[in-house]
Amino acid sequence: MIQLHNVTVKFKGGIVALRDASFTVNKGEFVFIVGPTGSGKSTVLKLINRELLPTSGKVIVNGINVATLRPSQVPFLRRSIGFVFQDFLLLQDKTVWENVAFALKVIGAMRSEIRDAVCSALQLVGLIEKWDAYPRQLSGGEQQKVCIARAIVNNPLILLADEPTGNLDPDSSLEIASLLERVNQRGTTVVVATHDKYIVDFLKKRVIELRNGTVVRDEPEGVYRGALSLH
Amino acid sequence: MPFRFIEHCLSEAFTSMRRHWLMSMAATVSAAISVAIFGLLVLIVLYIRSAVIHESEKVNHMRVYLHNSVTEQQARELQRRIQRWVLVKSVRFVHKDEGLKEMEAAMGDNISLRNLAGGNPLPHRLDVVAVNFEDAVECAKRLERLPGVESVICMADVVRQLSRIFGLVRLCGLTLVIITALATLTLIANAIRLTIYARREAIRIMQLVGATIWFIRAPLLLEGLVYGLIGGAFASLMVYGAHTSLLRLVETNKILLTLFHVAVPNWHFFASLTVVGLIFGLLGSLSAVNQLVRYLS
Repeated sequence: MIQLHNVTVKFKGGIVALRDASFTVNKGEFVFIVGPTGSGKSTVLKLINRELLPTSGKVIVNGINVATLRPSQVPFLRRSIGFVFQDFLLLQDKTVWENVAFALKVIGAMRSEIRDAVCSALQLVGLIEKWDAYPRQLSGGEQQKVCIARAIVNNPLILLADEPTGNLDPDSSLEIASLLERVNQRGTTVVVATHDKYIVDFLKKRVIELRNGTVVRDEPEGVYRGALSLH
Repeated sequence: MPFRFIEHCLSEAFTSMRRHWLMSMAATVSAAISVAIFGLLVLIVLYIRSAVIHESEKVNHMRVYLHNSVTEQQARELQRRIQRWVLVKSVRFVHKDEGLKEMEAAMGDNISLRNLAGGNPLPHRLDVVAVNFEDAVECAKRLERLPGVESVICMADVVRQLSRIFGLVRLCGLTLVIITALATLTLIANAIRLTIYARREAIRIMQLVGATIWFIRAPLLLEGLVYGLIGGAFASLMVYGAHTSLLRLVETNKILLTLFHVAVPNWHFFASLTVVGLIFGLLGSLSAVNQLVRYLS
């Protein structure tokens, strides 16, 4: 589903965000990418989502080399990828329903299609009762659930989450982790960039650890300990 | 899809205009002012040009006096030669006797020039009319160089002066139009930039969920078009009002009336000002949106 072959990303000023990184994420897998701040976790997600292009190496997503995609084709790649943000990025002037529906509306989905998909996404995240609430009326955990609902409403093949529990308390974090696992159980490949020890240890999924842009650990049922030892 | 696309564009554009009503108003008012200035300048140029052309009907006439030694046959030969010039509209041969009669008529009945010693002192004459007043100066120069031509009398200075004034008005008008157009484009572009800034989160979400670039930029372009359209419509009303009031004002003044009756613009002119506003809006929003597109790609 996702393959990184000897990927290096260099920014202006000579900063190396990723150094010769290689790994494969299979269809339906759940992967944590861990590491301290600045280790290259977000860079990996941006490469998969084609927000960044590798300086060298190849990034293959769903059989497509993202570097060779024309700008006009990028939106179509992104329709197969859901994205969850640390800061939720919800539109404050739209209700829960409208926020989730927005993701389908802007890709030109039919009204009936939007209604069914939003309903089922909100049911999955357990927020159907609060469909008409505004983001400011929700707790942090609930806002993140809305963000997840928006990311999965299009039934993406891949779900990318960048520090999804960064702004949440431990209880809410575990709730979000469980939700991500449920999404994964539906067949969606989930890649979570995090430095949240609790959710990594709680789910015991595959862990890829980055350190200064280099892959230093790749364990099938890992825990966070490796990343902790770096501090 | 096209219906949903249009619905999306309209809803996003008008929501944004409602939220940033102050900036929207500034952009619209500035578009209206610039287009109005543009319209007024075009009107002024039109009127001056018409007046100049009207007056040029008098100043593109030239009188070519021939040497006394030039015979009637030679003069008629010269007439045929000049008639072939592209710059020349018509040439009339005036026999020296006819010239004398004209002079007597001009000087009044009580003066007779027939009893002058030595007979009629006037030479034969050619009355030349240039195609347009701008060519009259060049034409006069060429006529002066012809053999047998004693002198050429034309209102060259008046022609030159008119040409210069007309050129100056055109240049000043063009400069003002360019300056106001640039100011309008900047204001409209800034209004759109503000919208982009205010909607940065929505744009980021649209970008990440796979909205095409047209889905993102079309509402922004539409917003600019609306500013331009409303501004242009207001401007055409303003110019129409100013023009009508001015016409009423000069109705009583005969001298001014001769200038103003020349070229009254029709409704196409005022409608085209709305189109000018629309173009301003489109260009202003395009400049802002293209920056966003470069950033998104």
